[in-house]
Amino acid sequence: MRRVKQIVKIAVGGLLLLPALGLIAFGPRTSRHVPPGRVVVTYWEKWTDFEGEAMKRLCKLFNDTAGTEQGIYVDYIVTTQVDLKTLVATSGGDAPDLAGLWPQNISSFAAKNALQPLDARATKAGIDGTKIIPVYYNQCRYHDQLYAVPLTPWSLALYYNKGLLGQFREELARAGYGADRPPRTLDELLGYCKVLQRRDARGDYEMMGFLPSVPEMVGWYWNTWGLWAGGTFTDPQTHLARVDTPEFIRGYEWVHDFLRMFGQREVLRFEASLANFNSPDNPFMKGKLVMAQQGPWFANMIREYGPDIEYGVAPFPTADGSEISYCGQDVLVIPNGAHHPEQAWAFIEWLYTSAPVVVPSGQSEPTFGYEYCLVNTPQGRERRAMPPLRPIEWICWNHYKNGPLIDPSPAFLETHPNPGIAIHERLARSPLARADPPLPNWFAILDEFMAAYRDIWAGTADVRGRLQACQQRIDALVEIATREQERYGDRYP
Amino acid sequence: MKESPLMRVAALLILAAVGTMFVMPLVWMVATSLKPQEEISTTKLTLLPQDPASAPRYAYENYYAGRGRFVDEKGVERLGYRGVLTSDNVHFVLYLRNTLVVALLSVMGMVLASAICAYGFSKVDWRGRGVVFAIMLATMMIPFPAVMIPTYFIFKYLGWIGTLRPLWVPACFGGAFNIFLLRQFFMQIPQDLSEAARLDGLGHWGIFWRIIVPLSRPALAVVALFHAMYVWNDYIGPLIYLNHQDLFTLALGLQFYQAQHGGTPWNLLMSACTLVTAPLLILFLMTQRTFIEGIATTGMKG
Amino acid sequence: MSTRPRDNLLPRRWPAAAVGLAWISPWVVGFAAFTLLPVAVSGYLSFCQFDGLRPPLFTGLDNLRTLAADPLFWKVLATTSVYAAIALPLGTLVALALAVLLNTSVPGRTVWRAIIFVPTLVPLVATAMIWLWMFNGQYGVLNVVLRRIGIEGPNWLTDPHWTMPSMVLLSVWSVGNAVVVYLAGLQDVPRSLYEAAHVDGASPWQRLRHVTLPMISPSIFFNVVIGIIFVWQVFAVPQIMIPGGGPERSAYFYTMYLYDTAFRSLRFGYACTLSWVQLLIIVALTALAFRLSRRLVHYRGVGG
Repeated sequence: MRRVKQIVKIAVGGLLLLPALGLIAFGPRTSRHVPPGRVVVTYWEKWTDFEGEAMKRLCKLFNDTAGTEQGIYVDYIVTTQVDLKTLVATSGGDAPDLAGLWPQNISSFAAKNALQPLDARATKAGIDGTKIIPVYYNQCRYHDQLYAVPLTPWSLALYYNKGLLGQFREELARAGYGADRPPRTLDELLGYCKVLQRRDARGDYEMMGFLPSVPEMVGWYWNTWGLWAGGTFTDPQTHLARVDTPEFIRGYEWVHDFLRMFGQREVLRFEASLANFNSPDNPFMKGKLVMAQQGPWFANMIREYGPDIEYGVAPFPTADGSEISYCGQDVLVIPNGAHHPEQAWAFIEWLYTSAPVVVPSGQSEPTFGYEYCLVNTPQGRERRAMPPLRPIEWICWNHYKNGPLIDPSPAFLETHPNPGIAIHERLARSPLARADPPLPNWFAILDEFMAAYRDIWAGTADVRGRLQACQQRIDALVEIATREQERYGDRYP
Repeated sequence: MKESPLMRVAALLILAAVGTMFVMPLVWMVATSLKPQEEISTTKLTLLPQDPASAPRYAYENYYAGRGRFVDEKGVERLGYRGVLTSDNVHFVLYLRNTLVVALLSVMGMVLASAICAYGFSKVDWRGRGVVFAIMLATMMIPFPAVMIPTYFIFKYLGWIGTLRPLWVPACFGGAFNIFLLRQFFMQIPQDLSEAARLDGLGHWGIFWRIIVPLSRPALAVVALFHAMYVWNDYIGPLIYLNHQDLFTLALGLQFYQAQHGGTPWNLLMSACTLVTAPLLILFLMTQRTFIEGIATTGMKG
Repeated sequence: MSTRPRDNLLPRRWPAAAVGLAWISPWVVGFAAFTLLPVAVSGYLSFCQFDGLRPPLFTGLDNLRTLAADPLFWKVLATTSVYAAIALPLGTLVALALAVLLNTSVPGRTVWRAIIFVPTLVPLVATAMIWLWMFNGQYGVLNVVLRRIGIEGPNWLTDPHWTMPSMVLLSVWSVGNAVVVYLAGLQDVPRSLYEAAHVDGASPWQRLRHVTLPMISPSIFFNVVIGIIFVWQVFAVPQIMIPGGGPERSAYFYTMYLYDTAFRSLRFGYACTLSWVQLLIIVALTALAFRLSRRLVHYRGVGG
């Protein structure tokens, strides 16, 4: 009996151990196939899903064409929390060659000496301020040096449901508004919201016109209200962050007015019942919100989650009706310590300077955005072959976003899948285009700001006092950052 | 001395209740891994899928499923792999191999080095042995976070960040806890045996290999077992040292299921968890006595 | 390796201490390289500003001043203390109770013991994933079961009031190790003691209080010390389940803050300060436990 037990044990042990040893000896050592003899450019990027697929396809095209000629292979690797990973890997001496970051990272990374300046290469390749829209170009700079190159830019706008506006045509007309045009000023936005609402028998909201909200709840952008009221994130003279200017106070008092007008408890209850924007139950698609503050990717989400919605795009309402915009982008950087910076740059240069390309989808059937596109004609939507685009424009097109180039190609605008492309392009060029400032501790400042916003959203009546208290905390942060930068002989901001 | 029947019944009931609670998560893990995606998000409380006969097919799809077309969470038809073992964005087999490589090297190094040190602490007589041993025991108290940052920069200096080396090289210097464990065992081996071997002309090295190692196989097995479990479990080490997906261990790679597309595919995640947990459960069932005794003795003699 | 001279790597005439040290040299080298040096470097860095990319700059007591004024530091300190103060005693009580139950003549003891032990085998990452699923507010088993009996369960991991109870509950799930240790301790208690107590007319409760507990107090003590050391290092499970400590950082533990300070904010100098504070706390608590143990722990042979 004992013997039998022993034999069983040895057998089971062998069954565990043998495959283990076999796996160690013969198992896979990598998840990708890199053709031999090429210099591998390790490219870390945040995008998964269809956005990632598009970038992967673009890399493949490069690898099959220019990459083959130059002996370069761009290895696209999806990396979660790509900014943190890039920074830690760089500090650990294991940096990628190319990383897709957020622009807010540029100043903080550059201040820590983690990024390679790109000026010399960019000037040589002609990728400079004469080619790239200023708001995006300037965001890539820190202390007068270029540290990043725009990849896919965006500008924030108002997306509105035309069908729902139409349902309230008479009420809107009675209030002095039109169902054919969205609100232009913040006051009008409140006025529209007063009309555009539905409640159930218990008095709970079923539909609202618009909802300013906290980031992890329904909406995404909460830091824009000072901008819409005409403010800027930094003082024009000192370049230090300011959130207690009259414009910011005005903007956040608007949020408070909104809560008061629609009832704070009811609004919060309505908010709690909604799903996040990045989900199939997106309240805009479900007809629970008429208007939303969103970027160009929203057209892509509507295609995905609510293809039947008839919608329009307009500049976001502002205090005085002027066209202000809030811009941002995804950028490419080459970290310090990258093993193949030249080759990484070759890829960036190809994105901007290559002859127009058509990117194959690799699918057996023609695929939208790769082999074909749709164009609005007087006869309706017409299917056409995808026009050749410069790689940088192709990736923006494929993400439904506006482009970084001052002179976009006509085909880019003409065939663009986002019906609001003209608005987004125009907003990016507005003299009042705003973006997050290049402050190395901007995220820490935003954290403080968000705490203040939460209090306002929770019903704090004294908006001015709360923002002033917040400014004091920010000043303390600035003092620490200044001290830390000056220790290294650097300056802040 | 026997308890009254009433007390025995009460004890049984309590144990049954607690036991159910303790196994429920594991049962639910396996149950979820046998269901299709559509049946995950329900409030029904069933162990088997609605169509129990299809359970093997679901298991095949969740655990393996080869190349082919599938319809993803958003209803879009896609081409690619699916299922834990063949997924094209979570490379389970690769992570498994990395984990096994680290485990093998690390366990071999740990057992050998710890045994050698334990010999020095038990079978070689030297002045100051007690003091050094006490120091070693005291170092067991130093938590990894306390040394985490400088260690990171030591490995950076060696150029080892982004390699598997930081995960197994330190083990080749032995571990205080394992040395302690083995020393206790070696102490129980009668001194006469070593003396006899010495008279036969063996030196310390010979005594170690010919007498001590063969006699302490069970203790060495316990060390190997515990250290293998430690490697299997280690999360913070890989998290800090590894940057590249191709080097991820299972502990790190498993997270990818969570991060994908927002909506977590719980059935796949639970299949992966089952695969990661199963070897340890099998190992436990095989070596239950060694296991329990190992824990009991290490816990007792502290 | 059978010939005599080659077997002796070290000649006999070497002093014993050299031979001893040679045998323990792996540990000595490893200790120097991976503990002593890091602890010393960490001590230096804790007085520096250091981001890993530029050379460290000595800043004197700056980090300590930052520490004193850092609200998050005090928050994680409080959170971790509360967790330790609940999870540790609760875990000890549950483990003791289960061990006492398993030490009775209840049927199927080895099976129950195995069942209670098995959760400790589940890898931490899998544990985190499984409980993430169990705790899911909508479809998690826990709430589904609660709903069956008419209770609307909370959103365990997204409601700031429930994250901490969730973590405590989870810690109880893996008391198996302690149970096994206590059980071994209980089985070592001489039968004669119980019989004597029985003859003296002691009730079951009195037997537990005056015989069992004193006899296994060394095991309890050992587990509490280990528990103190480990509870301050809680990381993997909450980090995976609720990175950043969940809503309102309600379950943000010390080591998570330490990790985030170092490897997310790249404030390695300040992180070293945090790690030294953690080390001192652990040493102080362990020393305290040793002091208390003189009064509470009963070692065999000391009478009674």
